[in-house]
Amino acid sequence: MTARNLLAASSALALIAGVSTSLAIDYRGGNSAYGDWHVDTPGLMRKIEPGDVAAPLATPSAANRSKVVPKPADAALKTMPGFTVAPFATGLQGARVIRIAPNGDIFLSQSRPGGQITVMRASKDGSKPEMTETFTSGLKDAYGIAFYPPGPNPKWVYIGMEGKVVRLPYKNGDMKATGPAEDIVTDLKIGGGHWTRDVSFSPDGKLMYVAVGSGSNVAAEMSPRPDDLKAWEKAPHSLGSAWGAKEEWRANVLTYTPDGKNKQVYAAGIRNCSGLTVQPGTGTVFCATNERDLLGDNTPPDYVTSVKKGGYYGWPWYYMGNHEDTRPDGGARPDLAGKAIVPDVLFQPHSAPLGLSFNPGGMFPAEWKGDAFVAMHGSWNRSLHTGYKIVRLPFKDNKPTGEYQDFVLGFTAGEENVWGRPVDTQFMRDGSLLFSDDGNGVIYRVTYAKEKVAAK
Amino acid sequence: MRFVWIKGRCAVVWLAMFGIGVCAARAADALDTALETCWSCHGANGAGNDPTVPVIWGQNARYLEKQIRDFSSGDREDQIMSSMASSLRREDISRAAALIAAKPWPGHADTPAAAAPDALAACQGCHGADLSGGDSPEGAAPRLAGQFADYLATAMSGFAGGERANQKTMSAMMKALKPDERAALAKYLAGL
Repeated sequence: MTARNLLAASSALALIAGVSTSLAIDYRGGNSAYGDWHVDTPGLMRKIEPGDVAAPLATPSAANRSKVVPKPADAALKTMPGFTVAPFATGLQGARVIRIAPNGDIFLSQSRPGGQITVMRASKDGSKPEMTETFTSGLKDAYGIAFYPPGPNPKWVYIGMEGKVVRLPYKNGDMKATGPAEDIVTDLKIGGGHWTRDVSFSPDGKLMYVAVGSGSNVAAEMSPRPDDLKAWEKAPHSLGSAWGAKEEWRANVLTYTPDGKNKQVYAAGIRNCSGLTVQPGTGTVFCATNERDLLGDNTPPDYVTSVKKGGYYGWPWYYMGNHEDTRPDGGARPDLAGKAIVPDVLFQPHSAPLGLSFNPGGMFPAEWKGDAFVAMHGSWNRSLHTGYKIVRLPFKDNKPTGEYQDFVLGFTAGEENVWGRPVDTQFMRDGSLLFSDDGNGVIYRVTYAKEKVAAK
Repeated sequence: MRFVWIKGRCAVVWLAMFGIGVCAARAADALDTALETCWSCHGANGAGNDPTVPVIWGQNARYLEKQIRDFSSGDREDQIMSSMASSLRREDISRAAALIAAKPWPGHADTPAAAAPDALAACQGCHGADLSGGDSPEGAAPRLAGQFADYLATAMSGFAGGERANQKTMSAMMKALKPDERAALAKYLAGL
């Protein structure tokens, strides 16, 4: 452990001290931050630095598909002292993105196989839905959900599908759509396996952000190269924009005006931003991103990062700053050397972070207000599984510290089976945390009661 | 013979007579890595231990090539296969398909022989009288004889339900069968 990591460790300890002095925090930096599900422990804090990234194929590229099984009789989720995890709703096949309407209703996309949006109204104690309705159905690959205009009285709910963004009329309290889906954006590229389209609005309601993942793992087919790359990278594209029938307008965060016009690349080189969230208070865009495959067990890290307008985040030519990937078609890009932004929080490679949300406060420990909670869908391209859990990203002054902490885990049952695959997190108005699992179609709720810690 | 610069750094000698690219060390790496990764699931000797993952060694080359392309484009969907396939360039896909097809079809632990279901005759039109696959007017038809029953059942119900939609004739034919008819076919084919 480096001196810097020790320092960070002690600050992490101090941070946690307010929660429970009895809790010893295991802190791992450098190479010790890497590992599979066997080392996961509630409270374990990690920090992966870009300099620690393993060389490509330092270990062979493995395929280890997890098999989703029903919850084994002896299985239980584990979390930190004082917290309780319980199923909130079950039977929600393909449960993906969760968003909370201004009135507290819980919107859920059930992307596959049918593509529908379900609305749940929680019971008074928040422990279960007392009403559940299908808001709309027949929207293929419905994923991202955003209310517009921002604020207490939205008029529409926008839905991201693989090839388009639609909107349906909405007012507070509606449990069923009162009108048909209207096409807003119809030109999103499709294919290549990256089909999730998260959608969000800037706080002033002027911009709609749409995340579109790459058309391939690492752009093995993107020729022909534009004659003049400098010209190519001017608006509506931006620095590091990929090209070609498969990759143009992909691996991006795009912006449109809310009427679906004025398409622009907001940021490029983000391989697959599956979770796009605007940070409350600052309006900063954050992405949870799945990085590329087939480079071995510990290369390269997945990440969460704040996204700058015009920023280039590496895909396909670089990762984690200046680590070059030699696989993209269409040639190397020495002109981009040193220009890829290092993401804010690096995760164990192949964890598959999908959704993130920010803790508004109200229930969890006061020190955790503003922290991000990320759902990890779990690995396939790794010899031993990793991910399959919820982690906490500490923030200080609205900026991530780069660390992440195991928060809810226990879905792995042996080396092959898992009984849950977390997709998205979202805080209820009472400050409790919901997360979705599309493996067994469950929404879980995490609550916190301080007295439980005090009683220990 | 001419020299073509591709990928910025790699001079490829293009042999017009043979149509073969030499060099492309980086492309070869991508293919080797992909193939290594294939065996993790499809088995180091061509038959994996997961009956939901198909036997691919000795499968029809044209069929394999189309499936890898379809996974790459998204016409056939699977998270892992999409990533693997989209990591390969066009020529790598052809080479991978040829390489896998040239390997011997492996036996695997076994489904007992079952009685031939009525619906079988319709399959034989494209997949051949002995169900060993072939090139039909509808496109390359895969070998079915000795494939895993679980995989066959999933493939058939996928065509019927629309989760798999990369072969129109198969979609129509599988929709026309009842679930128990498809199950009987899967069992019979696996036992061949």
